[in-house]
Amino acid sequence: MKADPRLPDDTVNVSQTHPLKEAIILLIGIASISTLIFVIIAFFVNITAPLIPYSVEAKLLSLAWKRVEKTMDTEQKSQGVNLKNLANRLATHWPDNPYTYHVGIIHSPAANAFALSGGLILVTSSLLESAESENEMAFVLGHELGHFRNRDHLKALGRGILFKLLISAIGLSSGANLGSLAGTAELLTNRSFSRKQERAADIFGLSLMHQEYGHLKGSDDFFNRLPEEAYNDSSIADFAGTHPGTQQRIAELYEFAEGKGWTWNGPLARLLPQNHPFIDFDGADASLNSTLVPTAKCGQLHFHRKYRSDGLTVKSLVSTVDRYGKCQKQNPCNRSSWLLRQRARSAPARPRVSCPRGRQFYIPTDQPASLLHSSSV
Amino acid sequence: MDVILQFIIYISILFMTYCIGSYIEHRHFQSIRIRENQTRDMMVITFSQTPEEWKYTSTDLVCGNIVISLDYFKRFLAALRTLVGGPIKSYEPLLDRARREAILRMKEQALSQGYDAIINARLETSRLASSGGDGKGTSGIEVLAFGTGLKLLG
Repeated sequence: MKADPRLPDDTVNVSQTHPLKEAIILLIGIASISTLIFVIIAFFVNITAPLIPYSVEAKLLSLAWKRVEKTMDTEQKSQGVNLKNLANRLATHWPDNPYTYHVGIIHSPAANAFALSGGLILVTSSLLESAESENEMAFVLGHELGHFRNRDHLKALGRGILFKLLISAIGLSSGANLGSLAGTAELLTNRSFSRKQERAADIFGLSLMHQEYGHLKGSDDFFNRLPEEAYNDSSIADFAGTHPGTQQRIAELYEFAEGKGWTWNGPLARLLPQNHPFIDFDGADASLNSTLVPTAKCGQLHFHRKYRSDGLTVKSLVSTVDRYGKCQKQNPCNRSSWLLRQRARSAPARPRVSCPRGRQFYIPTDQPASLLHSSSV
Repeated sequence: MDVILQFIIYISILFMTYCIGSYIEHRHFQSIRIRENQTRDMMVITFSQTPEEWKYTSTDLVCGNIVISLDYFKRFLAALRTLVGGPIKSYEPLLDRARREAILRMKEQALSQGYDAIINARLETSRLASSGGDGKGTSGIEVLAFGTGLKLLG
């Protein structure tokens, strides 16, 4: 027998909607709904995040700091201590400062700094390399201090955590590739502060600069270096529309300073040399205020005049230089000072130097090796 | 910058897989249509009993099998769809291709063995789990068509 079966119909079991059309409709719909959810979350986080107690933040810090510290090499650690001292010095001008600051150095080609919970500031290696004066770094740190004061860092953190929770609740983070897309979106939104927050932090940093140095010179160096250097990377920030443009930020700084009558002229303080070995001293205890940031020069030890060197036997041995690198007071007739110089010249000598427990001693690499070896106690 | 770059790479991969996937799908459908036309004379019936008037000499099992996977773009589209629900249209062409190809292969096997018709035709589908990740993902589906081939007399 002969049958005459019909061919299957192509159109019944396969929808004729164009897949691209479906993709666009779905993407637009889902994007607008998630934007709405994100805006609502951000709104509530902005209200609730500043209520987080400082004790909770301190716990967050110890977790984060351990992780950051692991990634830092010895040189970065020494730079971190430098910047930590600078940040804590700036913070003395903020009367209600609840934090003790820690500064971590992270390796990144983009010049940037971040405020993390509990007073942890992350500075990228590229920023540190490009910085030419202490004042420039001080402004960047002061800006981050401004974020801490307004508790912006908690708002960013809270948004990030809630958004992550939301993503894992939907179940996107596992399996589907959509998770990585959502993660990308989170990165875009998480790190950025609003225009208003940045401006407030800028102005706070500026007032700290004024109180610390008496002038504002160097504060705009960071911004002025941006256009030709790494801030081309800020295309993300421009894209997100949250960072005020660099030019606008400088203009606002000038305007604010003019309103207050603050001067932009003054001497720049030196940033401590970066490529130097450091020696860990383990001596008498010292309070935080007696932080020492010494540099060694021409066989002598120089201490920044700013820092109290009370309780240090080394005090009588050295001449002091101010933070602008000029000698303020010399002790050429001091026998101990003369002794140190002599010993530094003759190789095997060991000057007796002690330093507060846990403090670090920086000696530039152009030092005679004899001094380097002889200084450790 | 990295984020933007990642995003662009992701989008271009999506678009590339869309183009390649659509082309392969189009080609497959064309081949299916041509072969369906060629094997049109072969009857495939889901009855388990033959009609009274049919006289046949020999019977045997015939089967056709295909394992087929979805492209990255359509999988992405399906993932989007699972958020809001509704028919997952991007899976439809895949399943249609798989079923028709399996039946075609069964028919081709039956033809090569000299059978004139297939009765008691059945389809079975199974999902192949993805070996990567948590094993929950789908790497593809298998469709098996089987039936009883008959050699008819007269």
